[in-house]
Amino acid sequence: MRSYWLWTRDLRIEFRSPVGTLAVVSFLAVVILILGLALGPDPASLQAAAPGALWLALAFAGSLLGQRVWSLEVENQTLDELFLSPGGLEWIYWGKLAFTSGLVIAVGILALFLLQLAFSFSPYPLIPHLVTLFLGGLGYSIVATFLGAITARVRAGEILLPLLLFPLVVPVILGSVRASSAIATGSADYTTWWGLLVVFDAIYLAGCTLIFPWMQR
Amino acid sequence: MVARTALEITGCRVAASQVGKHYPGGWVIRDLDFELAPGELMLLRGPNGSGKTTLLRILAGLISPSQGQITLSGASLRHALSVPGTVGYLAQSPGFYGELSAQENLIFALRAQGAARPSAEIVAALSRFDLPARQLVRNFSGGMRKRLALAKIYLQNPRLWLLDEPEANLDQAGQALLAELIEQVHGQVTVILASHNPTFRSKKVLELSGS
Repeated sequence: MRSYWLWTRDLRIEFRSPVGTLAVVSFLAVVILILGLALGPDPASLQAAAPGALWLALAFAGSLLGQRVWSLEVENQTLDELFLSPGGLEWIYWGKLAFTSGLVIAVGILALFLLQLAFSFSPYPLIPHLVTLFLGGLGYSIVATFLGAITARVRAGEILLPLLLFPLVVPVILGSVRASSAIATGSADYTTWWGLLVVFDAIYLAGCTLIFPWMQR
Repeated sequence: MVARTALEITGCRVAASQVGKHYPGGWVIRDLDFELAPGELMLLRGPNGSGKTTLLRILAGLISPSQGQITLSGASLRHALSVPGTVGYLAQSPGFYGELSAQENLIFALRAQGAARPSAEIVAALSRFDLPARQLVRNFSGGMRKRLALAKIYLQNPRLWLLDEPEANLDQAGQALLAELIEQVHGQVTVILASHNPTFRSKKVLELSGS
C-alpha cells in the first residue's frame, strides 16, 4: 500500500512540474530524429534499423528517468524522511520502480509512433509491440531505479549511472531489440525473446528487491 | 486544540552504551553513555561539529554507530525502529515536496511512517501551527517549513522525539509554539533536544565536546 501511495505521489509531483518528463521526451525525439537522418534515406535500411533505434533511444532516455525518480527526493531533501519509515524499505523501491517503469513504457509507446514518422516503421501489430515494450521497459527500469538510488547521493552520480547501467541491461536491450525485429518482420520468434525477457526481469527484480534495503541501511 | 493521544502514551527508555561514530576524518563522538527514563527530556549541548546531529541521526536509524549499543525500552535500536510510532526526527533543515501542499505533504509523510491521520485532524494541526493547508510548500519560508515539520512530528506522535535545533528559523510566535509543544509532551514522551538556545532547560544535559 505504501508503494502505491509513493507512486501516486510521485506522479502528482511530476504532473504538476513535468520538467523531467518533458526533457526525456525531447531527448528521445532528438535521438530518433538524428538516427533517422544518419541512417536514411533508404526506407528498407531504416525499417531494419528501427528496432535498434527504438531501444537505443529508450535506453538513453530511460537513464534520465532513473536519475529523475531519485533526484525528486534529493532536490527536496526528503530521502532521509523516506528512510526513516519503520519496517522494511522494499516498498520505497517498488514505488519508485512503478513510477520509472510507467514513464519508460509510456515514452516507449510515444517512440513507436515517432519511429513511424522518422523510420517508416509500422507500430502494428500493436499488441506484440506493447508487450515487448512492457517486458523490456520493466527490465530496464528495474536496474535503472536500483542504480539510480545508489548514484543519487554520490558526486557525479549522473555520469556514473549510465556507466553502471548500460552493461547490466545488455541482455534486456538485446532481447527487446530481437523481439521488436521479429515482430516487425512477421517472424514468430518474438515469443522466445519474451521468455528471455521474463526470466531476466524476474532475476533482476528479485536481486534488486533483496539488495535495496540492505544497501540503503 | 487537536485532541491528542500523545498524553496517554509513555515514552520509551533510552540506553546508550559506549556509542561512537567514526568518519574518515576521525571520531565525531566516542564512548558515549547515557540513560533516559520514559518521559524524560535530555538536552544536547555543544559547539558546532561536536556530534549532536550525528547522535540524533544514529538514534533515528539514519546512520549506524561505529561502536557501542543503543536500546529503546530494552529492544535493540534496529528492532525498535521497525515498530511504527517509535521515533520521530525533526532535522535541522526538514525536507518537504515543494510541488505538494502542506496538507498533501503531511498526508504522505504520516502514511509513510505508518501513522496515517484523518484529513480533519491534519487540517486542525496545520491551523494550530498557523500554516495554510492548501498552499504549495515551495512557497513556504524556512520558518514555515520548520512549523510544518513540528506539525508532522506532533501528528506522528512518536514515543521518542528527536529534535535537532528546532528553534532555528522560527520567529517569536513559532518559538512560543515550540515551547508550548515541548511543555505539552514533556513527561509523556521521551525527548532528546539538540539546541544552542539557553531558554531550554532540563535536569538532564549531555555536553558534547567533539574531542
